[in-house]
Amino acid sequence: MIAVDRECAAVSRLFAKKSVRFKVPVRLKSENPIFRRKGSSFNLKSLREYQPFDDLRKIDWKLYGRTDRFYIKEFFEEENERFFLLVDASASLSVFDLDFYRRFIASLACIFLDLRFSLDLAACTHRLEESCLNLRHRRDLPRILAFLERLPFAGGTDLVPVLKEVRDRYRPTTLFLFSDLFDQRLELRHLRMFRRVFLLHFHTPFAGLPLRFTQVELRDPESRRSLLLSHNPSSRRRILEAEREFLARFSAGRGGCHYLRLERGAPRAPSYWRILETLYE
Amino acid sequence: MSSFLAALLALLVPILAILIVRVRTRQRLPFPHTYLRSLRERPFQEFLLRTFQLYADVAFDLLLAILLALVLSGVLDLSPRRTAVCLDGSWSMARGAPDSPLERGLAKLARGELGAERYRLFVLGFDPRRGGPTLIDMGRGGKDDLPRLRARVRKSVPRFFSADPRALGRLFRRGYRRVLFLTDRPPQSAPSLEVVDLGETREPFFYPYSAGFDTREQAFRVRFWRYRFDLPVGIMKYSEEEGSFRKLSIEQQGVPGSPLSELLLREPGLYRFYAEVGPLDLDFLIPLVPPALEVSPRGPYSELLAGLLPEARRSPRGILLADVPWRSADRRFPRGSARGLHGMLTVVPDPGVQPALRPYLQPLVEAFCLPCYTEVPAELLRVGGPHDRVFYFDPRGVRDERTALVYLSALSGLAAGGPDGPAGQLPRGARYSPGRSSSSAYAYTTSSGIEVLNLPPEEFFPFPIDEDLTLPPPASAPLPIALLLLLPYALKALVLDRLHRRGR
Repeated sequence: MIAVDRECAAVSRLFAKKSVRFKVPVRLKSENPIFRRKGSSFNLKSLREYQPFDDLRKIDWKLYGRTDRFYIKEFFEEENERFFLLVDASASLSVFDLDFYRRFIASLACIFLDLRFSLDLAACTHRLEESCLNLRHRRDLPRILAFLERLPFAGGTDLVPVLKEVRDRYRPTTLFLFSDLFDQRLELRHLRMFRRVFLLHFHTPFAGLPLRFTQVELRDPESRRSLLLSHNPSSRRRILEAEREFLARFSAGRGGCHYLRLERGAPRAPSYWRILETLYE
Repeated sequence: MSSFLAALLALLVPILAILIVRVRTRQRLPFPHTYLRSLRERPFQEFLLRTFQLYADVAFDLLLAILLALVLSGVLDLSPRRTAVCLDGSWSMARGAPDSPLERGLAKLARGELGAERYRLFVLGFDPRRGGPTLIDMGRGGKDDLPRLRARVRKSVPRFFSADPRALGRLFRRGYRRVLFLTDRPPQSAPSLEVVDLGETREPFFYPYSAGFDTREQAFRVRFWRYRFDLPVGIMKYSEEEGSFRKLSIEQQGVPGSPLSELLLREPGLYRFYAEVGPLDLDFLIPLVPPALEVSPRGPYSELLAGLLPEARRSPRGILLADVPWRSADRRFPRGSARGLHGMLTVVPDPGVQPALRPYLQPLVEAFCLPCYTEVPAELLRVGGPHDRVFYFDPRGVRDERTALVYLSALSGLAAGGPDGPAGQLPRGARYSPGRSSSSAYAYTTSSGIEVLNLPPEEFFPFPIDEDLTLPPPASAPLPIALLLLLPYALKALVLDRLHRRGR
């Protein structure tokens, strides 16, 4: 049973107070004028004569004074920015602490909903698997939890076609990618197709593995292949060097790409806060 | 060869067990191979490294097992094939010069008749400080002629009272493979040793066994030990008026059950005992004086016992009471139970003891016993001080003749300038010669006159001659084996250290 961190409510409440002077990222709800709905923004949609079913409070009295006729001003509807949460559900995530992983995603989604952001949630392996869209209120949280609970964590990882599909199908401006990044093809340039990307790397350091024997058989959960290692300082040194190179590929993100590495057992609340601060910069 | 294989198989069992465990057990962990491709690309190197790591320990252990098996089975003999020649250093070896057993042994050594060209020469003697036998290293042998060899032995060897051949086992423990023992009393069976029988001295011999004042008889009782000497001992008394010795005719009685003869002398004075007939050059001087000046304590226990002898006055030069370090093999000896008294013993002379205390104190000539630790008799409580127990000799506990040997050795050591000192310091009439000569006077000088040194009746340790002298087998020298085993271990440590250094 997935639970949300208890700190989420406090984080969202404190951040709402802290950020009143910042500009809340808002946008028109629909970029296509045909589907834009009227709302309460300052973007004028239309000006028409008063009809009997209209609210009297919406009559433009200045126009009445000039024209002596009743007119109604209609504005486009606005909403806070919609985030796209892409969750890696490949088999390699089983190496990481799945409870930590699910709990982090659920908690961050809960904070976003508290701050009145809209969310789209999708799971992926080598393709887009399942999605949970149009999450706008706190009451949508059970849907998120159920979605995360259903994730099978099986199959391989191929994020490049998945990102292209997300871009083409959902066109998100801000993408949150939750993954262990165990993907051979993924590079930073593949993330530039989005205006803003939060790369949340759930990393299991090799040095933290409980190696006790001279011979270690490492089994890849995705390819199901095994690699026999001799646990000695020489091979360990080479693996750590490769791990450093691997981490350097993503941590050097610039511009709209924000990288955050999370390790098993690390406190989660500072990460929430850091993400929100980065978001409001 | 079979023993080597058996030892090797026995040593291989744990090594194989370790190898099986190491090969069969491996840790299985799920972990993505995303950045482990570089390890996949070098499978041969990985294979070599893994194989080395798996089998390096086993290879080193196997090498050590082979070495151990070689050493244990005796195939690889690292002990040096050294030869030790040991001379019996007891008094009897020097008796009967110029044809003494010692001279005969030295002649054999000088002529190289022992079949050992290069050897190390030892003398089996007695250490008065430890109260046990000792081996005196005389250096390398086989290169000296007879006079030089004789001089070396006589210069270095102190006078011994007896020799215990069981001490020769120390030579085997030192790594000597062949030990030749030159003695006049060969043990009946000594399979480990090569015993060279030098034969006993053929010269008739006698020497004073005890000389002391018998308070019951109110006379001096002098006893002689006889060896092939059946004639009466000649007796002369020094006359102060005439300035010369005067012959006496005193009846001599044999002591039943022993080669001893005994005589009683009523008058004190300087007596000369000599062989009346024959070419023997035996001449003993014994001053017989009342036992008033005989007690001079040395050490805390002797001080304690000196208080028990009220008629004895302290003499500044007397050495009849002395604490001697003593290491007893008897575990019943209570070491350290009384502060300042542990490890000490005192031999009390016969004449100086009160009749009431006589049952509790053993005379010197009969004190071949262990000191006993018992309840203090009521008579001794007065002098016991804070201690409710003291050591004293229990006449019922006679079992060890080394007690007197220790005491006498200490006396001879204390008597600096005694028998080996310059003759000019001796008073007139005092004749002496070193104990290894045939003419032995067991007396030495002090400022107050000549002191008598009584010998024990026998020179023997408890070791009987007819006992089977089984010595420990020759031991392999541990140092070469240790170095041999250290080499693979050092190599193994070096390899592991290099691996670790590369890994840092």
